[in-house]
Amino acid sequence: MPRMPPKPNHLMIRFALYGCTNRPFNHIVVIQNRKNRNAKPLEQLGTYDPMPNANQEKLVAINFERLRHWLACGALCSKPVEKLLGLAGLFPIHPMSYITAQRNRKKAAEKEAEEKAAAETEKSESTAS
Amino acid sequence: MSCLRRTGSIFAKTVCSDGQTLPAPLQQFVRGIKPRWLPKSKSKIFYVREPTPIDPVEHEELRTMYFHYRTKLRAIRGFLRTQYDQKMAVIQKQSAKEDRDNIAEFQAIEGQVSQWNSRVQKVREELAAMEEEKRQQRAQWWQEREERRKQKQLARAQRKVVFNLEESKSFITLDTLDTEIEKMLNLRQDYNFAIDKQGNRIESDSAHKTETSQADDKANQQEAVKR
Repeated sequence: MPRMPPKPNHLMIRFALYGCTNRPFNHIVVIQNRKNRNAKPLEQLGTYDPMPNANQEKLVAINFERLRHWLACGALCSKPVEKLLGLAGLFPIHPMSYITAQRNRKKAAEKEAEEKAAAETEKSESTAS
Repeated sequence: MSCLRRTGSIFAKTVCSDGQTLPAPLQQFVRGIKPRWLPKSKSKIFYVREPTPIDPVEHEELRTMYFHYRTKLRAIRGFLRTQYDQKMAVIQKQSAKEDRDNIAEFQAIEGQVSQWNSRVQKVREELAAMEEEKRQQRAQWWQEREERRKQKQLARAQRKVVFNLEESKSFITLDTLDTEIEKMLNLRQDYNFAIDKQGNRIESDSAHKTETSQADDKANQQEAVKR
């Protein structure tokens, strides 16, 4: 047998996907990292509804006291949770959030420029004719 | 997504060019994930995924940002840890004080209880001694009673023995048997008597008289037969 690297075993704060078909709903849970996604957690810290409601809001509920406690106990966060907590203000904004926003801005600018160019060409064509 | 999947037990028939039919494993398209036993599809044998393009400028930026992010996160974690430790220390201090108070209270209560226990023990011992005395008295009384009973029984038995011995003197033995028989044979008992209301025996006048009356009766009977 080849020597295997030691498997990490620690507490995770991560999403557990509930809800049903075409209706995702997440619980924010503290759980051992090797457990299944929807296994029984140590504690549920809150919920996250990724579907925007009628007011275009994605609702999040977090028990910050317990979250602080578990973080102090050495629980690690998954990337989506880190992003969410960055937006919530407990953590600094996640770098990937910055990058995504940058990309979105860039895409929007490109689209705008394209539209502008198209409009200009249309205008010049119409004037030439 | 669709792929080729062989269904295990079903076999279709394939018609050969010379008209013979041969069983062949049925291969059909089924929606789902490719099972392990199916080989790579023909079109994908030499397929290599294009690596995701990475913008070097963005990558460098991301790298530095990640470094900063991780540092900050570590700092936050450390802060939370110290906060937690402080909180726990306070709680521990409080709990230690509470423990001390509890121990003192417990000792006070324990003292009271032991006092009460000793008092009760004294009372109970007295009671027990009294009961023991009573029990012994009762046992003694029972013993005396038993002795009396036994003595009485002995006396009764002795009386019986004496009586029986006395009785046995008049028993008929083999030696005296003949004389006794003789005596019994010679004995004449007359039951021809009356008893008045007070239970006194009224004997008949004489045995002779009864004999004459019997003779009279016989004569009367003979006369009646003659008639």
